[in-house]
Formats: sequence, structure tokens, C-alpha cells
Amino acid sequence: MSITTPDIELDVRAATATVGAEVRGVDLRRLDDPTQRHALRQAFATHQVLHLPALAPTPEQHIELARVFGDLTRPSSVKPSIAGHPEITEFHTGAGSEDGNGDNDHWHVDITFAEEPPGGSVLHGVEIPDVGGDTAFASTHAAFERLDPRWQRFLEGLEALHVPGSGILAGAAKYGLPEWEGTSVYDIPGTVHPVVIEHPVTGRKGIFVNPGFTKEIVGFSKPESDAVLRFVYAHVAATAHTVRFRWQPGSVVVWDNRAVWHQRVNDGDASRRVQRIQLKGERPRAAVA
Amino acid sequence: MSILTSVLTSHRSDIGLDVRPLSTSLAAEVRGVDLADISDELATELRIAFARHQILFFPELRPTPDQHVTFARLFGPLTRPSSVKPSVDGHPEITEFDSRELGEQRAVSGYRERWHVDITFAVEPPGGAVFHAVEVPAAGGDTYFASTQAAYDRLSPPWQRFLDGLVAFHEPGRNILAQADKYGQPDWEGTSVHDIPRTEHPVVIAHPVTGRPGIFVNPGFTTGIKGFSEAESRTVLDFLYAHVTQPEHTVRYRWRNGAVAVWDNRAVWHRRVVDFDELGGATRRVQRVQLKGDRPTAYATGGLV
Repeated sequence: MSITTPDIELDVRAATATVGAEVRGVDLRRLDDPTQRHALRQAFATHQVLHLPALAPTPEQHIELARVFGDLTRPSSVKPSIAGHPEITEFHTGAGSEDGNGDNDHWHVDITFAEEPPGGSVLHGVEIPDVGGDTAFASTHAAFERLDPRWQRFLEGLEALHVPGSGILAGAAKYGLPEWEGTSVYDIPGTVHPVVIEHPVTGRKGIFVNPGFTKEIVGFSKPESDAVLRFVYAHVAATAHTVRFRWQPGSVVVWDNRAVWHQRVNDGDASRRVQRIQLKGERPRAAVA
Repeated sequence: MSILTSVLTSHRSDIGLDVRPLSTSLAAEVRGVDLADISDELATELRIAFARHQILFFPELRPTPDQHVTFARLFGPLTRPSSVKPSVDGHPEITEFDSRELGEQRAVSGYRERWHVDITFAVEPPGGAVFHAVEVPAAGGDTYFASTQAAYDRLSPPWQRFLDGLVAFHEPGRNILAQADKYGQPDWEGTSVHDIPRTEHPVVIAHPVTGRPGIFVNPGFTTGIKGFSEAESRTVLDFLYAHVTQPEHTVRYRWRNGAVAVWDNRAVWHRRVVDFDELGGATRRVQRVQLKGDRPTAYATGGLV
């Protein structure tokens, strides 16, 4: 797909048949251009993950770009922001990092233990290793759509409990800033979300449990819950539902936290710094069967 | 369901039938039966106890083959005793299983004993078995039974509703086909087991007598859930196999020579415990008569509730 406005040509290429696209031609000086804004939002709704290679935005441009996709919220539930930019936090892994190995090298969806998890993230690769440190995404929409209808109906009737795990609580203790939408993460015992949600923009149904924060299916015995979650986790992460982006220095990746799981590929110890802005989300709504 | 209310109580009836439950889920030991003198009234009490407990054990019945057949008929019309094995001489209703023969078969085919329900690859599996432990080892060779009804009752409602809508495939499998070849008598209800490619049964059936729902897949013959991907199917079956065999849904019975068991093939799984040397000293010889069964009906769509 190619969208043209005078001086702006946006080139959107699907990265897989399921999820993700590479977008070239974004003009950071023209982020107020309605045609470009519309095209970016359209591409985001269609592909759920956008990779904008080697864009290298300034922090101000990063914020302006993020606002194209929606209102912003805090960039982390536990980490402080970078100096001068409350909207941005930084994750530094590998050599010389304070974050050590990080707690993001496994499939998860950000902050689902909160009542209103972020709607998405806009991540800027500030320092990217020559090789290694890709980010993989899995489509919860495609995964839901590729289930037998009886499995779909079964899952649509269920709710799951999400809790901040030990990684989040350790981060809260370390950074001393354990707050999300006005509540300390210590005061969030857990939040119940529907197992299948309807996307607030597109209406597509997606699976909304994840291996990072989902503890159990409400009302189920442990074996009943484990059987469902183990199956769903393997199914969502099936290769046919995933995409993997290789960062370039300055790349920006935008993902929809209501539609994809993500994980950092932990395959090297070179220094890797990424800066994150988060889009404000709403309380996930159950899909109407 | 009133038929369940007295399950936990040991009971001695006015005509002397002594029924003692072995667990809260299934099975009872029954004493007070004289094979030479079974009144209509006693027969009725036996059938009620069978519906209540799904398995009745008679520890010291010691029937002759004729008495075995006559006793079995109290619980319903008979069918053939096996889909593959010949009957014993003079008694077409009875077949015999000998541990030495089973041990040889196992050594040749590598077959491993597993939980199963008899002949579910057929459109009309047997309704039950009447089993006579003719000769058993001093120790070893017990049989485990699991209640598919208790297992269903102890699922949460979303799992129950999910399962209610499913249909499973059942197939004879290699072991049955190998035996069919060996004995040259592969017939069940008029059809060769070689000609039964795949049978469909509901995953949850309504018991034809009590209406109670029970899980009707089993590790012996079920090969998949109709319409599901391999992973979707495996998830459901693996979960159910672990769930049905939870200790709280099972009993383990230690046989004595002359013991008789009547089990309901629509309500229980069973499996032999192979914990003795089948090719060495001890022998386990058992004789089976089978009760005729109906085509299983789905609990969700046609069962009596």
C-alpha cells in the first residue's frame, strides 16, 4: 500500500500474512499532516505492529509520533522517566546496563495486571547491537480466529486473573516508583479480565491472556486452568501467528497491546538501549459471543 | 437425583442383600446372594444397586459357567463376550483371559496395558461386563476402575458445557486388530473389526438407565475430537485422561478366587494392574460375559436429565 500526499509517500509492506508491517517514508517534520496521520493509524489498525526502520526521532519527535496513535500514559508502572521527558522511559540491557538482563525476554503483554493496561507502545531503538536483540510479536487476533468455533465459544465465556509477577515487584522495589494510573503496584492484588476481548477500534476478537501476568482462569481447578492456559500459550505462539523484527539503530516499533504479545529475543549480551512511550488504554471489554 | 442419595450408606435390605460402598464415587461390595436361589425381588435390588454404584463386586460367588451366564442375565440381555476372542468350549457367552497368553502377546507386540472402556470402537459397545476371577495370584493382578460420572460431576460448568458439544472418534487400534488376526474371529455385532474404520460417539453421554452424564472418551480407543486440530484435540483428551483417573474418582479391587464383578461399561473405565510376572509362576485366569449395550446418546441433546 502506498499513500501519497504532496512530499510524503508512505510505503506500508506487510511483514507476514498474519501480523506486522514495515513502514517507510514517514516524515517526522510533517507529523501534523492529516493524510500522514491517517495513513499511520490505518496501517496500525490493519497490521497491529509497525516497524519504522532507522527513523531516529528526537525525544520530542518520538512523543509527537506516539501521539499520532492516541493519548499517552506513563511509560512504565515501575521505572522512572528519563530526564526532562516524563513520557519516556529507557530500558538498557546487556553490557554496562543497570537493568541487567531485563525482565522482557519471555512472551507477555504489558501491565495486564492493571485494570486499564496500556493500549500500546512506541519504542525507539536508541542503541542497537549489530546483531541480536530482535523483538518478536504474536497475534492474539489470528490465534483466536484460527481456533475451532467450539474452542472459541468456550474461551469467550471465561475470565482470567492477572497479577504483577515477581519481576514487576522487584522492579518496583528497585526503582521505588511503583505506580500505575494512580495506584501503587503493591496495592494491585490482581485484576480480572475477559479471556477474549473485542478490540476497541477494529472490533476484532483476540485472546487476552499471556504468560507474563495471567495467573489462572477464574473458577477453574488448577488442572482445568493449566490445561486451557498451556494450550492457548502454545497456540498463540505458533510460528504462523508471529512476526520478528530486526531493529536498526533509530528504528521505531509501534505495537498494539490489545492485539499482540511481545518478547525480546535474549540472544546476546551486547548493550541495547530502547526508549518507550506508552499509549493510554481502556478497560478491556469482553467479546460478545 | 434421588438414586444418588443413599450412595454413601452401607445397607442391608429386608431380604438380606448387604451392599457396602467402596468409595464415594463408585463401586460397592455385595454379599447375601445365593446363586441357587435368586428371587425376582433380589434381582430387582441387584439392578438398583448396579445403577447406583456402577460396579458391584461379589467377593465369594464362585459360579459354575452356567451360573455365571444365568447371573449375568439378571442385569440385561447378553451379547458376545469379545470382539476378537473365541468363547470357551460349550459356552458361547463366555470368553477367558489368561495372563500367560496376555504376557506372550505383550512380549510379541509391545502392547502396554492402559485405561480403557471395552469395544468403544463399535457403534453399539457392550453395556457392561460380568467378570469371574477364576484363578488369581496370591498377590498382584488387581483391577483399577474409574468413574466417568463422578469425573464429569467434578468439572466446572464451563468445561462441562464445552465437552457437552463435542463428538469423538474411536478406532480399534493395533492391539485389537492383531488379536483379530491371531484368533481369526474378528466379529462384533455382525461386523468384522477390520470393517469398522472409525466410529463417532458423543464425548458426554447420558446413561441409558439413570440419565446421569458421564465422560465417554477413553485412552484405549479414542483417537481424536471431531473437527479439532491435533493440538485442540490433544489438549482436551490429555486433560480428561488425567482428570478421570484422579484418585478420588477411582477404586482398586483386589480379587480372590471366585470373585465376580459386574461393571457398567457406560460409566466406568478399567485397567488391569500388571505387577506380576505373567510368563512365570503366578497365573491369572478370568472369564467374561458381556451385557448388550445401546448406541450411546449425547447428554446435551437427548439424555434423560
